Amino acid sequence: MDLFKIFSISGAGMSAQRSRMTVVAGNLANAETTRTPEGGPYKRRDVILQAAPAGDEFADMLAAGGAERVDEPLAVEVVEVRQSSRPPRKIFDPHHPDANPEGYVSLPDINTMEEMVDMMSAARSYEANLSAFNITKSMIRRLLEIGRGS
Amino acid sequence: MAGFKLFSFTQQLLEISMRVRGARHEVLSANVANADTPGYRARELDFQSVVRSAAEMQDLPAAERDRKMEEFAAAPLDLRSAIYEPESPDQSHGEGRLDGNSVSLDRQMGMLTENSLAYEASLTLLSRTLAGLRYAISEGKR
Repeated sequence: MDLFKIFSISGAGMSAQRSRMTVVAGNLANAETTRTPEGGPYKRRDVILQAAPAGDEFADMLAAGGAERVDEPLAVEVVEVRQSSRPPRKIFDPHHPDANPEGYVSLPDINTMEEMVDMMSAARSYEANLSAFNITKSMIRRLLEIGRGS
Repeated sequence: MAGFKLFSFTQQLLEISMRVRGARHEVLSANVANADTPGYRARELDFQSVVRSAAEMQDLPAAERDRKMEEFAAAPLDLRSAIYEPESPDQSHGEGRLDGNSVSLDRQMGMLTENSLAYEASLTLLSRTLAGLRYAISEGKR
């Protein structure tokens, strides 16, 4: 039954959007971070999404028995969380412990507005995937009712 | 037994319609999942082109119609050729997105809803015809 495969497509969509939310939350939390394990200020992170084949091997095995095969139904996956190469913001604050000899502190180049917009867009996309998921669920539920005596 | 047929032409046609609706649901869900993937092109499954050849059998003489339908329903449906990438209306107006993605989330959600309602319509009709069959099997008793 191919309808079940759609759960994994919508699920992959929700998972990818949740990763985006996590990364955005990390960016916001570290907007003022000057120290990181690799040294220097925190670098803004960005999620890279890519279309990927859907379903697992077991589902494919079941589907091999003559079910409808849509031409490579594509799910989505996070391929990479990339660090931004934008130069850090420099703020003049000679009293800061991480200030350089000239008195400038390097802060991550994170624009709160940009992060908020990204977060809203991720939330909307998440909801869209959730709706698609629920539509699939109601279709399957209706389908199961067909066998009930009426 | 020759000539005996439990499931009617209508039931088989409804079944095919539901299979194609299910596949279209898959294509549309994949579009929604990839709404933020750079370079992804929205895809669409042409429901009519698949179901039309089956629906056109209606005008054939009954015996030939039933035989052809039997063959059609037994073979896996050819959906690959029915999938295409529709021209995005947003893009033609120069409002396209910079990341090369052609998914319009609101349009996809609309089509998803429409498709699932059409699926349920076929499902309702199918269960009605099955209820008729059940009525006959129970010799008219409820």
